[in-house]
Amino acid sequence: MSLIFLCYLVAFGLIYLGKKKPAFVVFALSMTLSLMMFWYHTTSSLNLNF
Amino acid sequence: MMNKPGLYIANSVCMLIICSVLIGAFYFQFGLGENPCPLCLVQRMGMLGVILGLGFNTYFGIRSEHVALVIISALIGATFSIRQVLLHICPVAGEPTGYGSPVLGMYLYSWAVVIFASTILGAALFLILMKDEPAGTTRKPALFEKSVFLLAGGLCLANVLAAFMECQFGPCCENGPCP
Repeated sequence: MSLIFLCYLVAFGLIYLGKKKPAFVVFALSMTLSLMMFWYHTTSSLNLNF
Repeated sequence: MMNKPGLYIANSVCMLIICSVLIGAFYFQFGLGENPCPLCLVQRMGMLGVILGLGFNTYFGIRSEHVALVIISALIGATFSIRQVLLHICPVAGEPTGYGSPVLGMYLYSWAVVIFASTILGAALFLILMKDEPAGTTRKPALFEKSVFLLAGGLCLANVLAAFMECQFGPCCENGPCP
């Protein structure tokens, strides 16, 4: 989880530095990782659905 | 600059509203001692995505592609929160209804649905009012816009640290890291 938040933080940094394309790529990566984590939560055998 | 400065201020105010929701979530986490659930954390990510889409507007000019990022993030975030609403919509006998403490009669994940829906409505209004800045635009944001963006970045950093303290690098379970 913290690594995904870190990806979002990197996107913030890239926007601040004015690097649009890398920021967009990191943004897309962060969103994909969030979706994957959500998918993991819905399918994992661990009790994560709450 | 094709868009009026007021539209950029409105962009930052929208960012500030989402930031205030994240600050409220931190109040629940650290002020009331309620650790965020796994689904709550992914909903925070959806909100950070919305803020980043608005941040693109702040630093690269208001463009429809940036508003599209806001809408996509809001739709993804709404998926996360609607999932949690559906999990708790039907009470189980002997178990408390809902998860966490309600605010003004609604649970936080229900509020998240309202926030993401409002974001999509706001993005639609933006699309009506805005004009696309030329491609490749970079702009120097005003002090207020920059301050709001830095506040949002600070909240993201706080989320990195809070998630690390709660569950290190892996996924989060009910009480800390997953076994």
